[in-house]
Amino acid sequence: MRPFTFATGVYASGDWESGQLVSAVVIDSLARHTDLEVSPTGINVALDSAELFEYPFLYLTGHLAVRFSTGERRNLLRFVDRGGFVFMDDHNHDINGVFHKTATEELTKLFGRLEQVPTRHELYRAFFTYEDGPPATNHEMNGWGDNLVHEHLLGILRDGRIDVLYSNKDYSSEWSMHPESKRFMQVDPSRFAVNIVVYALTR
Amino acid sequence: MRSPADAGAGGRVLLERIARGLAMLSLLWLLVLAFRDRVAPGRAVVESGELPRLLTEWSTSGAPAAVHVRTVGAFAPFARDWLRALAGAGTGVTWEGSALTPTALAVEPVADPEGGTSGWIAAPAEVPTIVEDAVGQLDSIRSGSPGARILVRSGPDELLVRSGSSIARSRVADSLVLGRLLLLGRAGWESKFVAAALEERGWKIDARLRLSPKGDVRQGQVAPIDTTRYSAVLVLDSVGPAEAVRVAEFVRSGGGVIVSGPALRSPGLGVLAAGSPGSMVPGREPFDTSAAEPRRGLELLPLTPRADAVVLERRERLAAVAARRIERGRAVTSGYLDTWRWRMGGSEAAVREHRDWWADLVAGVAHTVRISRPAEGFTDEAPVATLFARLGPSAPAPRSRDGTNPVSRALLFAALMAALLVEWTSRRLRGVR
Repeated sequence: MRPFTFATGVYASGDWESGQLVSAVVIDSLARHTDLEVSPTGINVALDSAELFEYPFLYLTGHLAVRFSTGERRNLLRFVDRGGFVFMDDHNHDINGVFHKTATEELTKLFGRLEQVPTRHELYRAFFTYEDGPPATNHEMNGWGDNLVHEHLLGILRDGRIDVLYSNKDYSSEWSMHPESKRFMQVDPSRFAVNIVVYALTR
Repeated sequence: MRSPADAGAGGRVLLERIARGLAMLSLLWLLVLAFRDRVAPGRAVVESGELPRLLTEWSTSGAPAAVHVRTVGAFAPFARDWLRALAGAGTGVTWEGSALTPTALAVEPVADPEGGTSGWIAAPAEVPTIVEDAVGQLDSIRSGSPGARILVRSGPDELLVRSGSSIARSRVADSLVLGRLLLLGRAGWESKFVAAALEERGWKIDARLRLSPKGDVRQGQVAPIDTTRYSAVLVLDSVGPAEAVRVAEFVRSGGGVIVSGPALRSPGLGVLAAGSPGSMVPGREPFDTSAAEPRRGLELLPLTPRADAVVLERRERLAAVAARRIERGRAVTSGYLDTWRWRMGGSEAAVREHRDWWADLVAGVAHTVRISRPAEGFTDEAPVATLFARLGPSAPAPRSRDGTNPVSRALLFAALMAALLVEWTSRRLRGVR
């Protein structure tokens, strides 16, 4: 059986590579907290390639404007239609930022209107329990970016199941660290990533 | 002393008397036959095309003592059954036929929430066979082997098979009550996509998937593994020995099990598997997206089937899927790994094909409760066999009990006329009137 592989999506516009430390942190959390078979390293996969369909969990991030190419759009649609899970995170933590505006426009064009994921959604109980919905990030608490604590994640939901999860809480910054840094923290900030991956693998 | 001329005249007189006697006997015999025919009509030899009219006549204004029917191909079922009724009422019925095509059809409901009808067809290999439902033609079969199976996903209640001159038709007689499915193994893409495929199909699924030392992922109720709740168990990865024992008991009591992929290497499940796994064979790279061989791109643990197993699917010469019975239950073993890759990366139809393939595996093993439907409609599952059962074997038109038939009456009449002619000629040659 092929192990779970954390795949970061490569798209032609913008800076897809802005969260290159995230994969290592998420993989570390999965290995710490679960028995899942996990590839020790993540992979970067082009959205317009056939290889995309070998990795049903796809992480997308960036700071800059996002405009998908025709091939990228076609593949993303097919990927989600077949059961793939997309987690897209705004690396800006800025509701008026260019990434947020363009990325949500692209997602809306492809999949329809993004809706708020309810705070009682099973995503928040898939592994660890988050009674109040998505955990806040240090960037939110420190008032950076738009100076807001976003209470909800957004998503494309089909019959209650999340196909595309969109965050403008900037988890990409929260999880951009070397895994060994976690030992200096009271709570592992990437625990929520375990929920996202377990949700994608089991629902 | 008598002269030779006197002796010749005496011989002629004797000949004339014999001829007269023969004529009288023939006449008497013909009279007897005519009398008999007035009392009861005799034997009727008819073609099968005349039966609709004649059967009505025979049933309303008296049937003949015996009927012989000649047919090309099988009788219409109503004629066959009507003739059987006549035979039951005392009419001797015989038949002879040519171009009979022995055909049989049996249909069963498929253990699938979307329904479906499975038909087993027996027909001569050399005769084209057409399968129809109430709407029209579904398929044609010319397999070269005398048996075939057809799966109709639209689930018609009735199927009809035309093979040569025979038409076999059969109706689904039972409704199935399906239980739930239980998914066992490890959290991962395979369990997720198999569950998704079967839920899309309409199955209700409980799952116990290993995830972490803190606990498993559970979906649905935690219930005992028995046939009152579950139709089948799908084991997609290794399970503990106690769980394996419970699954084995479930199968022996009539449940179904599918052991797939890494689960084949789980020691506790060996007793259930239809074969033992060999070394992993890689799939064709890059992933094959052709619809013709959609599973060629998957990695495979080739099976060495057990002696009592039937291989259901091969990849080239390697056994890929096998099945066996275990007491009252059934087990299917699949050597394919990561079938989710087929659904994600296959051709345009891959999602549906992946769903159908898994649904078919489950349908093959699922425990069901059958509820008989009230009998309705007409069935004729084996027309030629039923013809033999109702009317006996084919035979040429027999001679009647009194030795007469239309041909012998003509001969009798010819003999009568010849005897009279001989006597008359002889008397005229002798100069006697």
